[in-house]
Amino acid sequence: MEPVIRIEGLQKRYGRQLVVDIDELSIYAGSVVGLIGPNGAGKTSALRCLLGLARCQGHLQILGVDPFCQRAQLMRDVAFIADTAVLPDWITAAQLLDYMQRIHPNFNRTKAEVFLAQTKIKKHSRVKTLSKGMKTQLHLALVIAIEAKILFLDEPTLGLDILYRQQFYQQLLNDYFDETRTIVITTHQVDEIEHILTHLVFIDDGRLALNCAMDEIAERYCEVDVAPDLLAAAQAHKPIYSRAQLGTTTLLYESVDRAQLAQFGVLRTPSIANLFVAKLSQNHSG
Amino acid sequence: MNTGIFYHHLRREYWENRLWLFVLPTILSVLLIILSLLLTKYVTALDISERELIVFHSEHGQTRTLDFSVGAQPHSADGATPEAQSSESEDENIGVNLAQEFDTDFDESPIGMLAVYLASAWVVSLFYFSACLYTDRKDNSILFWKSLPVPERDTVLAKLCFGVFGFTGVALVMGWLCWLIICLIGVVTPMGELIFDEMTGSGVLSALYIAPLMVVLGFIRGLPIIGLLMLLSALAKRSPLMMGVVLIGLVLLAEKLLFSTAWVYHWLSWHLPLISLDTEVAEGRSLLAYHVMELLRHPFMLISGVLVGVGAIGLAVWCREHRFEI
Repeated sequence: MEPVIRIEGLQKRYGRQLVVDIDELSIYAGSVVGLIGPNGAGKTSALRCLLGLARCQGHLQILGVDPFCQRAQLMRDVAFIADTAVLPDWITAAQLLDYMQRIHPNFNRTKAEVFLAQTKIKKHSRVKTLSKGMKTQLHLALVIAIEAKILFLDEPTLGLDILYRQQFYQQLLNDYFDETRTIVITTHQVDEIEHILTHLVFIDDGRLALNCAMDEIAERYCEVDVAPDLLAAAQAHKPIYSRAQLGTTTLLYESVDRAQLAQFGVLRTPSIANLFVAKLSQNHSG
Repeated sequence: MNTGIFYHHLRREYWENRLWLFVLPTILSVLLIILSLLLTKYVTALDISERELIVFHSEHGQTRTLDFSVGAQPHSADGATPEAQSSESEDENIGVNLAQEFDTDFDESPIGMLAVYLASAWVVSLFYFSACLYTDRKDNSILFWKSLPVPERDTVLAKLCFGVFGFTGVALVMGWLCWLIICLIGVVTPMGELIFDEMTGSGVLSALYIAPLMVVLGFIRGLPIIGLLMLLSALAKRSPLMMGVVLIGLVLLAEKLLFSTAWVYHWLSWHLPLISLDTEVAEGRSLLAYHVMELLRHPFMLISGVLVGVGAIGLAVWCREHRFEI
């Protein structure tokens, strides 16, 4: 199967500073990819290269086209939500629907109207009169109504309260996602997207720190709370990260046989947040 | 380019800039209507052909006939000099000045008044061209617009068409409406003599097509200025208008110092769109023919202007695609 996104030797510099340096990354249709990294890791820069908004070096293909040279063509099949404040303030919801219907060949107005009917957004409300959450809902309504093959979300729930955040991802999965579509989400709020991801990509200092399917996480990584008397033996298996809490030490292992670790305590699959901290610590320490 | 889709790009420009479309024509209309209402206060009867103005002085209840032909001193009907009538002369002069101004606007056809509206529209549109691609790029919403399948060429051309025909079109419509309102005021007041005595049917009809054609001529003539302003707008990191003023100033200064000529100044002033609004044409000559001939008499200016204009707009599109990263 051909990947919908293929990256080879992607480099992005601002002046002399290298902010993105990705050797190889392929993303396939039907996946929900979390591009996760700390602030300043290069997530947004990488995303803007993928969208053809920034010039970069290397080989980059989205749906078989070069995003920088054929951006207008690409945007027929790609949708994008940057953050909550990118809809123009002066436009009304009705004008947005009207404009999208006329200029976007893959826009389904009925779908957007059905979505908006479930919200408190009035047709003739100007964007500037809407709350942050409503702006996001309006943007989501537009994006869901586009029959796009790839959806890029760059910190889409930034500044929203927990209700809107949960609602956002729920609606995204219910109304947009199917096995023919791909979603790429960049965020550093890992907890809220953990349950919807199929693939996980960690990015740190512009480089990939981890790239694997969610199914592999359970096979490759495990976590165990170790009592003080067993700590020395557990450390011998070379955990990639350890943290002390409530009289025990939690150790996180990568590619270590679970049978060997079972003697130290109850094994569990680490959360993405814990794995993220572990991989970044490992990166920074050596 | 799909014209149906292009129409919706123009609608987007309208939604975004509609306030600026109406501000100046509205101010102009209000001023002209107030002017005409003031005339009804001071003027009760007029005889333009004799270059005399009969002024009704509201406070003193006196009627005076004033001669405002060139070089003449206003005099009252009883032969008294204006010096002797100093207390009333101020009001009389207001009446004379207003009538003269009004007479100029309504001489023969509404074209003079429409030219004032078009001039204001061109001034606003030149500011618009110098800012449109810059503010568009600086606003956060650029990320939304860039997420749509719209080529940069379409965006730039939509702004070009809106800047040229949007502002001037609205100005013309509002100019005609204002003219009709002033005509209606004339019907119910003695000021009507001033308006309708000078008005000819053919003058009004010719204004219907001459005014829009003057917009087209202004566009052809002003294409390089428009193109250069759009290029500055696409190119500037900050304050494109200031950058333009400084650049032009430097070029003019350099030319003056190096060659002691003012060719660039001449070239730029020839290409100002407002030049096409000159309505001072010798009697018996067609205004339209005069402006068309003016274009054809200067083929170098015309061709160099079109080339510079098209080149600058092309470069503006290139800048939108390549110059700045979002």
